[in-house]
Amino acid sequence: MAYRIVHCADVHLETTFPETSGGAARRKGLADAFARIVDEAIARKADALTIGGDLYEAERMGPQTVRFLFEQFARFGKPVYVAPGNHDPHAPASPMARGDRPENLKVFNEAAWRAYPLADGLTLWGFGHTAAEPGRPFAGVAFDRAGVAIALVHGSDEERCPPNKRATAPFTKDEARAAGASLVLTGHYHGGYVVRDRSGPVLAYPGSPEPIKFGENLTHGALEIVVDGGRATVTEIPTARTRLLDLALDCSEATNENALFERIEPTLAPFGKNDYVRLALHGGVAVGTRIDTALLCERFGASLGSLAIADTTVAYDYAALALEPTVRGHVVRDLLARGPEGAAALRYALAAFEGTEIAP
Amino acid sequence: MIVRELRVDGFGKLQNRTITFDPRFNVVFGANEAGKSTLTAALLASLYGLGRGDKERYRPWSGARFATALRYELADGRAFEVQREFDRDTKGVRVYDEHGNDASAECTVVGKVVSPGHAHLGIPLEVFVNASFVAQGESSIDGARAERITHSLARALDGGPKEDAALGAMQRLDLALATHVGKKKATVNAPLRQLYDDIVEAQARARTMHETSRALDDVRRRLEIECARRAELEAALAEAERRGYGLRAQTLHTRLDALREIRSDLAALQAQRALYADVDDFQSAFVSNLELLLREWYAADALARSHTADAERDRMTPALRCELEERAADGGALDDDAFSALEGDAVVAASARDRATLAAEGAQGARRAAESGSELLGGALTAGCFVAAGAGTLAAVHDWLLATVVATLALVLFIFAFTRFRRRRGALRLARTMEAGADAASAAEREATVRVHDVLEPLGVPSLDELRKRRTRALELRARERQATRSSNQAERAASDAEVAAMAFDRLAERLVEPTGSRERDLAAAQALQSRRIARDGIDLRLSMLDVRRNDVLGTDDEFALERELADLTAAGVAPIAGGASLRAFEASRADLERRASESRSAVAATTAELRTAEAQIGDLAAADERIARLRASATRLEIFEAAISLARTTIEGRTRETHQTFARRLTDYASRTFTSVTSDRYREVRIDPTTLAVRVRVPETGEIVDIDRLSAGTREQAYLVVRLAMVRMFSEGLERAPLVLDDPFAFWDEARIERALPILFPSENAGQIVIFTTHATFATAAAARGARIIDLTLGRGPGARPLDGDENLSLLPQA
Repeated sequence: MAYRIVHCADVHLETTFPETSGGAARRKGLADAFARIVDEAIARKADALTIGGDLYEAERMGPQTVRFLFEQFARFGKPVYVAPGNHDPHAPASPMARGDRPENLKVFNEAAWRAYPLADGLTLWGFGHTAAEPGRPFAGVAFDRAGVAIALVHGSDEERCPPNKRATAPFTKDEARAAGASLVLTGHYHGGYVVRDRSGPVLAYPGSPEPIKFGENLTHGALEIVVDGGRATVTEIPTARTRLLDLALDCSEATNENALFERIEPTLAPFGKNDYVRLALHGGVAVGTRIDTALLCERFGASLGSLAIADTTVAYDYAALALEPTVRGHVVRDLLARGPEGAAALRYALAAFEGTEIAP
Repeated sequence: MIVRELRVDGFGKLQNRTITFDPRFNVVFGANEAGKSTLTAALLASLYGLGRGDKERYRPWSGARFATALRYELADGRAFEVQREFDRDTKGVRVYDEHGNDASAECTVVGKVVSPGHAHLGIPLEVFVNASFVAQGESSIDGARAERITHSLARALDGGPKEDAALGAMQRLDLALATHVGKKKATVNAPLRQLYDDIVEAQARARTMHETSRALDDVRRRLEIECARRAELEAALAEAERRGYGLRAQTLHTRLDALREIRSDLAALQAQRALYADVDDFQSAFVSNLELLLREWYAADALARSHTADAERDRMTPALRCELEERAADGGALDDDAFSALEGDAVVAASARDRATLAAEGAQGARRAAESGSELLGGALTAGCFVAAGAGTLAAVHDWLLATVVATLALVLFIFAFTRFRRRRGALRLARTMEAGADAASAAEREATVRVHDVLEPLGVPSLDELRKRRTRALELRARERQATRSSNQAERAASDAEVAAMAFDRLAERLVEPTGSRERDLAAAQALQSRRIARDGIDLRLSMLDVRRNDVLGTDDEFALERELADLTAAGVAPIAGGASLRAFEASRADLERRASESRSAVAATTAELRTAEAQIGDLAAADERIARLRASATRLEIFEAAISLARTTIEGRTRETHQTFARRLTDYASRTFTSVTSDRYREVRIDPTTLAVRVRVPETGEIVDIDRLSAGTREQAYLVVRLAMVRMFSEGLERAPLVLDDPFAFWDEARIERALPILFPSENAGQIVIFTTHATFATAAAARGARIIDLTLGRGPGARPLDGDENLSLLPQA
């Protein structure tokens, strides 16, 4: 008899989105995504739902979200296993420890491996984060129960750590194998992936159900794990509806504001309310071409989740200006020599000479 | 830039004229009103276009086509032709290169205006006019002109399209900083400080919200504890309820059993009571009265008999009556007062007698003492005399010591004799006093004895003691007589009382029992009936007690209802619970449980309400944190902006200062060298203020640096010309060199000065093109001699042409 698990992680309920506007809508989007995962689990007749940490952000967890989670757990009805992560570490006062939590909620409430037998020959081992840094979870561990051992932990696959991502509870595939884990269901990386070897899947990140930050590539959603006959298979369940898009638009030869609008409009036309766009304008434009990013955001942002426009266009031939035997020429030379530090100053200096608007 | 040819279709008074220029030195010669200024204006208009006010001003008088064409070459060898139709304004200008290609786009500057002068010279019209063009009579640099020139100079030095150039740029940067970041001391517009304040405020709010959120954990823990307590109490209450039904069944069982037992007891008692029907009406309360009356009768009868016996015992016999009469005549004749007075007198007499006897004995003793004292007195006196005489003798023989001793002895003897004398005199006085007292006491005895005798004698009683005996007997007899009378009276009254009691007894006994003739038997019969009545009353009391007990057991309930309730409980499977606490104790315990459960429910409700209220007050923590992050990002953006603006401003300021200082130094050097040549080494040092363009020179005679205005007009003109030339050369460094156009600058110059100026005006091979307009024939001739091209406007296409009609004194200076 196959045992079916739906696994998700990094929902990050109540997180903040300082990168763009529309934070409330995106938080609602995260809650909706989790509800869709529960829908999927019910529809797929999953025997258990596992959550690999960072289900919510503890410091901002409000009563409404606790009620929402408990309702979802109760709606699923079958066991829900939670391995707390670094954003929702287990503590006596954490929501998952409350007395009114649903009966079917099981929390791995310490930074040590604990086993739940799921079925004959199938054991779920869980490791929870607490306030202290957990160290290497698989170091010196041996899962001593026979059959398939599924490890549930919030941690970092050291071999595939995304750039600028802080590692927590680090481990490697080999460490997990050495500990006796058949499959590691984990969380922490918001772009999901599954690592397989000849014997099948070894570790699986579902990714966050919705992208949290720009640049989080790979997949976003949940995973369905089916254990049958001592073997596990992993299937991705995409859930993301939100897209975080970094776009660049070459505005070269744009001589006026209207031309700029005409270029931006088709660029943003394919996107809708679930799309959060950062648009970088670049290229050389005619001197004095007005680029009012606030106006552009107002004009094109209404049909999007949010729109942030960065103006990096250049209205001058810096090389030509640098040849001028004037103060302006000297200033251009000096500021170009300063590199990135002088780039913004150069824009403002030339705008000041030109008498056009100077604004941050 | 080298202007090669200007073709005029129609421009002011000029029409169909083609003027060819020398690439180096041109002198446009003509009398006043010949059209020199119009030609200058046509040249400028071809390069830069016409201002709005100038269009009508230079509309061709002849109605010819309002157009010009100007050919020029640039330093890089490229050649262009600018064709302008002034009636078509900006659309009427075309620029072609030497190959005939349209180069208008290349000459397009800000605002899509085709301005070959601006594009190819790199300076706008006003800069060209103020720096490279000297209008008629305006070679001096002062006042408003100096200001315009310095503006142009600044723009040329600083770059950019604005008149105020670097200074204005710095001001605009300052303004932008003040507007978007705010000055440090600004009180109204300080966006960055406001952002910092907003961040602090938002952080405080978020901190409060987080603290409130954390505080809710305590409330939740309390709620959980209270919920657990409530659950425990409600479970206990449910158990108590179950136990309560069992106890209720047991109670009902017990009560119904008790009721059945009471009913049985009642039946038995009522059967017993029926046996006492004979005493139903017996008034047992009177039996005690009957007993009392019998005892009263017994007591009164006994008392009557006692008093009768006393009366008989005290009865007065005739002998006693006779004796009483005798004693009444003697001893009983005196009343108590008289007898007391008599006894007083007898006592007085006895007392007086005793005192007389004592006084006599005392007097006698005193007499004897006086007599014995007299003997001692005589002896002492005698002995004293003899001793005194001895002392005198001894003194006479001068045995003074012994004489003194003997004299002392004599003195002692005399003192003793004197003491004896005083005692003897006192004893004699006492003896006399005692004798007088004995006499007085004897007299008093005699008087008292007489008064006693006077009383006893008439009564015939010999002594007072006899009188006392008789009187006592008389009193005894009289008392017996009174006692006998009293006892007799009392016996009569007691007999009467006994009779009354007997009658009352008999009447009462007749009401209670059948009289038997014996009061004792009547009383016994009554007491027997009373005992039966008491027994029957006891039965009644037990019946009442049973009734009370039944009421206690049943209360206000209905027995049948209790039976039905017990049947219902039994049917519901409730088993009676025997033993344990009493039902009352159980009810008290259950009431306590209910009270505690109710309190617990209230506590849970209150804590839940507290939790809900507090939860509602927390707000959206994520939105609060997000706001802080946004504010910080905004602040960071402004900080970066501030840093960038500061860097831009610092760089501009530094470069401006450096460039202006360098320019001023070089301008001064150049002008000094040229001016030295023009003035034949008279003035070797020229100083120019780069800000005001004020020119000062050192006077060789005094060595002083003086203002240029203190020199002659000609020298002043020379100085200004030199400065202008220097400025044109400086301007054009790095840019396309503009032609220098001078409109008759030598109005006040003598020939010698003109001669000296020519070398500096005549450019070298790599110097710029110069076009000088003049009416001065001498200058034209001299210039022609040095190779200048002479363009004689009076000759139409050459010298000697006639002046044009109606030419005006036009100002070619567009307004800056």
